[in-house]
Amino acid sequence: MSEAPVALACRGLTKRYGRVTALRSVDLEVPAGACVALFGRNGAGKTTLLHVAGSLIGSYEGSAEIFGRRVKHGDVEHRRLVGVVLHDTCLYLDLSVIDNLRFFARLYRVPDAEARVRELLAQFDLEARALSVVRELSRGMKQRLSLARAVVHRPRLLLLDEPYTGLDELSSRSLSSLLEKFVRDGGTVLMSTHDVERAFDNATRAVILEQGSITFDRSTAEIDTPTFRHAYWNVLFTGHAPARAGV
Amino acid sequence: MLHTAGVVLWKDLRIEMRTRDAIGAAFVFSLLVMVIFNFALDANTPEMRRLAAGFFWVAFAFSGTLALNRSFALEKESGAGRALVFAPVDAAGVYLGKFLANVLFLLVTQIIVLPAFIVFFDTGVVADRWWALVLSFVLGATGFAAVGTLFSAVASNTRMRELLLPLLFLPVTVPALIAAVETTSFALGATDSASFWFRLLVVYDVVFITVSLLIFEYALEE
Repeated sequence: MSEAPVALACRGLTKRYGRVTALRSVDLEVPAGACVALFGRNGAGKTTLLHVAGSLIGSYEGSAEIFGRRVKHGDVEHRRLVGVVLHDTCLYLDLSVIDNLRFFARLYRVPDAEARVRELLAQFDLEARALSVVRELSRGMKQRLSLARAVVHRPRLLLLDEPYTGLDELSSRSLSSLLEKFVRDGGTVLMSTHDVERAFDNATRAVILEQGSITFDRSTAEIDTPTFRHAYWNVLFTGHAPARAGV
Repeated sequence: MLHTAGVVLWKDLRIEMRTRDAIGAAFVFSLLVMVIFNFALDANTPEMRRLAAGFFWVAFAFSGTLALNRSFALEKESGAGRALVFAPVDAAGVYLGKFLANVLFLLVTQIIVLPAFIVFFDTGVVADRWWALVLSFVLGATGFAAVGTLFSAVASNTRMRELLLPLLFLPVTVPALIAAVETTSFALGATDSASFWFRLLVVYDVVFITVSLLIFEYALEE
């Protein structure tokens, strides 16, 4: 039986901003088709890891590869493989929903862009608001549109930075089901989040970063949600490593 | 590069058609400046008519700054510009698209303001020099947008972008503004020749468009 290809492979990944070390020799391998949830306090290095994987950051030490291709800042081919959802929605607020998708579809030279845009509007339940200006949308709708924007070019790896922040229960569930479909269709997801329940809806692995290092990395099949939540809260509020917290 | 430029131009035109922010603000500001000049300086004198082109371009320089400020402000809003950074596109294409959009906005502003300028300053274009006025507007707006688009991107990454943009780019545009004043004066019949100034505008435009295309990548990155 052949092994699944590796979507993201980081070995000894270190990133420094001046005297601050955001990532310390991180080793992380994400197989294709996996959904990995990154947890950690603010400033633990989650966003930096996503930025390196998304080739948004120029220099780093160690190695980072996406589908066997070394991550290089500004690599055009690399960017075709990856979709990114940041904390900001990265949408043009004065453009309509459909025009935002048209813009990014054309920018990525998506074949038959108009058909792809229509497909995404239907898939993300945005058809009724297609002509609405993004500024008028709710946070949940904006986040759905942001996800549609990120997958407009059919990326193989999706990087999400705290996608559930500011969403109500209904919008969070809707986002979860969209991510589930993305993974079911063969996509790979790496997301940073604090929302244990939502992340465990889809995540096949849970990883905790503390001060730039991975202190916990386990399959979600091996641990139930309440136990992990309890351990993670300990990390957040007391700074105790998961091992000490009883996971 | 041309594909990216076309897509970015389409996007900026769609936003402007919806909001009319850039052209609207530039038009109102130009009009206000001309009204102030008109009443403060008694513009209906022969001497003032000779200086009219200067007043036009002063009004344009300040109102154009408003339009250029808007150019990258909308990229910062909600982080939309970051989506451009992680898309597989070349920065030169993004620059070209934004630049062309800005040239169009500035030209439209000039065309809208022109009738008010003619009325306020009781001036007119010499019959066989309309071509000079058109060329002056096109070359002047092109130079202004070439530098303004680059500096707008630089200033947008700073905390005080509204203040920083005019401080950064107005000094650089001084040669283009002087040349534009001279060529417009020629079109209005205030001077007899402007061939040197036309040549200067062409050189200025070519140099700054080329330089901006080459270095825009660094301006786009945060």
